[in-house]
Amino acid sequence: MKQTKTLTLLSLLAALPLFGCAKGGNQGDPHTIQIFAWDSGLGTEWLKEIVTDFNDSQTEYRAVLETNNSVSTITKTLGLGATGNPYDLYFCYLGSFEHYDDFLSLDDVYDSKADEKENMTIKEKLYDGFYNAAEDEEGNHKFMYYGNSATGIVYNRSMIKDEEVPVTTDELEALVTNLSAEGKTPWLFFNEPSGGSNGYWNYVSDAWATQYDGLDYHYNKLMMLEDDNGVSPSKAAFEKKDGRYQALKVMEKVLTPSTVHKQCTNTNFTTVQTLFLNGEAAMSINGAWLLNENKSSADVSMMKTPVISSIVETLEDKDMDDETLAKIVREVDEGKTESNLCSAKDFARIQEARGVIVNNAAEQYIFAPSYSNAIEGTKAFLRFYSRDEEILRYINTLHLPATSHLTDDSKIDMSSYPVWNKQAFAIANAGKPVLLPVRRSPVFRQYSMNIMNNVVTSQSFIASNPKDRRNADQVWDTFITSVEEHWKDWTEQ
Amino acid sequence: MKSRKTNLFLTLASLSLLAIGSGALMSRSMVPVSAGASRSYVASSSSVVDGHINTGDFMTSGGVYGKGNAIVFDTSAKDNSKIVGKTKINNLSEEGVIPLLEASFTLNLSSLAEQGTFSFAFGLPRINSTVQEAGVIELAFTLDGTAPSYRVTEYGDNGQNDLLSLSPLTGMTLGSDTKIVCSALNEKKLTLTIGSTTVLNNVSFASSGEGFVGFFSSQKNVASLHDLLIYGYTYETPENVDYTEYFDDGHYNANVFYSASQSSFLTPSYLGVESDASGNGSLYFSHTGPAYISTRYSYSNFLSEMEIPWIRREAKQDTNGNYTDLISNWFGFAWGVNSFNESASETVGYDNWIQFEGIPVDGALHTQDYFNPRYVLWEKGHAVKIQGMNHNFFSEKDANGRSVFLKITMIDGVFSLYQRYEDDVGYGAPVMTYDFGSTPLGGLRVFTWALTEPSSSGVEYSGVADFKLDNWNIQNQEAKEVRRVVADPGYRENGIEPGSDYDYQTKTDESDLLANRISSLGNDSHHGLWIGLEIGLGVLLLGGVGGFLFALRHHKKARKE
Repeated sequence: MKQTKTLTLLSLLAALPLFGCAKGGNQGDPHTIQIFAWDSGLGTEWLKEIVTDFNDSQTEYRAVLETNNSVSTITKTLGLGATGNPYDLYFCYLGSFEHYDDFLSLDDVYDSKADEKENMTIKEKLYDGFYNAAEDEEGNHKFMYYGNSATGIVYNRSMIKDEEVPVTTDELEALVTNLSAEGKTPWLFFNEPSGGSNGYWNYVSDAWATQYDGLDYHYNKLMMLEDDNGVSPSKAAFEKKDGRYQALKVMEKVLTPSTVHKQCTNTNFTTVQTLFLNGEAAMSINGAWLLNENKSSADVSMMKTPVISSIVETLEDKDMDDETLAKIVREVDEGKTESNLCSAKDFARIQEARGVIVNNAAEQYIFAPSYSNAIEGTKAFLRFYSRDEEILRYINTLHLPATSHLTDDSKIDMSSYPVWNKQAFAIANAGKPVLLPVRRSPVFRQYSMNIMNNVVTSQSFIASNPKDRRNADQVWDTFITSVEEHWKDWTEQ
Repeated sequence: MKSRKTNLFLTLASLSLLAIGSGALMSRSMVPVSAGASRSYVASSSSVVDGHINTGDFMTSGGVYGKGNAIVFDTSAKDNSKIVGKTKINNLSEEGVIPLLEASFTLNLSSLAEQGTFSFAFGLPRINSTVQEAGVIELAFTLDGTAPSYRVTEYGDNGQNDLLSLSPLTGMTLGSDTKIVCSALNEKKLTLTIGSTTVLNNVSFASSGEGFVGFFSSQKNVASLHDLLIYGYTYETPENVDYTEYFDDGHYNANVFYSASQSSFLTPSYLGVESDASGNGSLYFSHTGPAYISTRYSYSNFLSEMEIPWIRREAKQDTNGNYTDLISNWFGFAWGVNSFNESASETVGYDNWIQFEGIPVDGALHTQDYFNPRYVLWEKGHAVKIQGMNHNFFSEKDANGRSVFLKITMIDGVFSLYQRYEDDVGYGAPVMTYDFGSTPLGGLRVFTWALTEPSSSGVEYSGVADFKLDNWNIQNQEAKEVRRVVADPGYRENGIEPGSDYDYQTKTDESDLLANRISSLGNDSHHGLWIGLEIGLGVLLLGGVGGFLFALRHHKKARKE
């Protein structure tokens, strides 16, 4: 018996070094940069080309690219740690910040020029919002972003004329009612039974919430879960009936069992996207990656997220009717800087709201483990990656904006681009994108939680069985109940 | 080659034609709905909850508000207040749909203002139309002098026409709840019941009746509405095929069907077509875990008939007492399937389906007949009807070796199940019916969600599918005017197609086992567990190999010494 135990122990002990030594790639070579990239809706063709360019330009370093379409396959390599992880650089979504402390600060990359010939630093070339979104509590920037994907309501141009595109949520409500009355199906989106992004509806509901509350509240109060007394994390701040509730009220108005396609219960998002692109519904929620992901040339476009009509409750002119609000929004779209329909302060609020578009860049992080022994090579690669020529590689492959401008954006030739892609650039150049900031409450970060604690929203409004259907109050109550139930677990550990 | 089957199916086809013929006659003359229609709700029990009027269902103005489950008009409202449903009622007479509108609600009319009118109206051309616009039909309550009265008026381009002239209130009194039921047909007939009095019976009106529905109050009337149920219809006509799959010659038509399976712990485990020497075949769910065969086409109204020529009805043990065969796990038939290759677990959780449950999947003995064989009808994860099996075809005592034939129809939201043994003459009446109210659009599927690993209670408590499917006949049952059927889908032999990944959990709760499994859908927590197990297993295997080599060397060295 004792002999058996000894052998078992020896077996297990013998296994540990074997497992620990399971390193691959060229981790031992500081001149080889092992890159692991997520093959998602944006694909990786552009990255392959940039890697080739880099290797052609180099005598000192060599980049090796590996791709995978599974986030978990990629990110679980982080768990192997310093002794087992062969990868030096990642292009991937990161649901958990468990290994964030192991990541390399990229501040010196941000502060440097991509190329001595360029007259701006890498930081200066970025679109608005990206640098700030990457900043953590210590002021470090351990992430770069590779996707600049605006999200929002996409529409079939054969079903909604450009002049019918709503600019307020009341106009959206009227459009939905009219489409439905004309026998057209207003909405088609996919089902995420566990909540998740709620079939991408979170991108739009977050935008409406931020429009209502303002960017300052969104980043400094809600995302930090800070209450009026400066307490953070604060349960009261999480449960405050703010723009998130207003967004639910809009969803209740436009999402009913009668306004959605029957395939909205389908959990396969690519199937649903294909049906939408085939014209089975007027609108869906998606992002700039839609046509690339579906390899489609459908005549669709993305509208700037309509301004939440209840924003008037936050204006000086609280009695402003929706018709007036819509006129002001259209003035903002025309580039006006003031209006004779409202005060300067109200105009500024409406202008800010019109620029709020959720960008899902936080699903496309670039990061490097600090224990990599190819750190200098990695930084060299990232500088090379940020050169105008390589940004153009990205743009010319995807026909979508990158996270960086060129030092001269006039070099971008969009003349042959379809409406979809031109609109992606127009949206990227307008307003400030709302990005998921690194600096946010640990309650959000540690538990991979969104601002509605991942409760099911969109599907709640469209359940065909009346007993399963919920209104905005009921969805909000579900959220509050979930916070009450878990708050101690989140904050007392 | 196909003589047996041909004869069999000629008989089946004849019976089916009779059934279809009678069904068609029924749908035209007896059932007040025609093919392809689904209810489209203007208002339902979810429209007003805890004082919250659902703004997706209604547009309100003038101070109408919700209280409890009621919509309230009172003196705090503006002189003109209204609540209008946002779902338009469609006239689908061209699609062969008979009903136009069904509306029932309880009205408590407390007081009518002088020159005030409280109305229920349908046929509003636009959501912001007034009651007096052409096409509107209005039931109006007003004062005739001081006497509460009502009338029914149709407004047209050339004035108005009273379908019911102003009359004293009958069937209701002010201040008390009165149920009002309004039914309109696409052939422009209106029936109206107030309380227990039918005040209009199949009265003709001129307009199409198409449009929005609402309640209007002019002046300071006091009224409340509750228990609203108002709906019209929509119609969907997918293009598909009428097809019979015989599973002969070792294949099925992959242009029409798709299948996939996952292994169980018993062998041989596969889902495949088996044919005898003469080519007669069937699809064999041989000791499968989760497995399915789906149509690639979508259906709305359909008739589906299939034969279960064989099902494992007795367990077997080898000479060591280990179970090699168990009485088959349940199987199901699903419709409205979202995608032909969705997993069996997704079908269980999100589609509509009928479960033929001889024995619960987990925790009940699969070595003997179960005491409660049943049909369970599921709607998106909820069991909406449970009924004992007419004949337990999972039991050899009942089936006595006979084939089972199942026929399922879904017509305008009404589900019907027919069942018979091979030697029964015809199906007779349906063994189960249920009105879902809507006809989901999607694929059809025969499937099972059996276990991949033995139940923790033991192998004998584990559900493993073991049955054959044959002669699967599918027919589009849309109205003739609108049905779209592909003449020939072509033929492509199926090949070996990989099974899909399943989220899978084993539960041992003996109460409602399937419901437990459904409640766990979408819980990804076990992914982490699997990764952990994989790594753990890897450690153990590597460790085992390393340890074995180490021990071997140690042993050899010891022997040397």
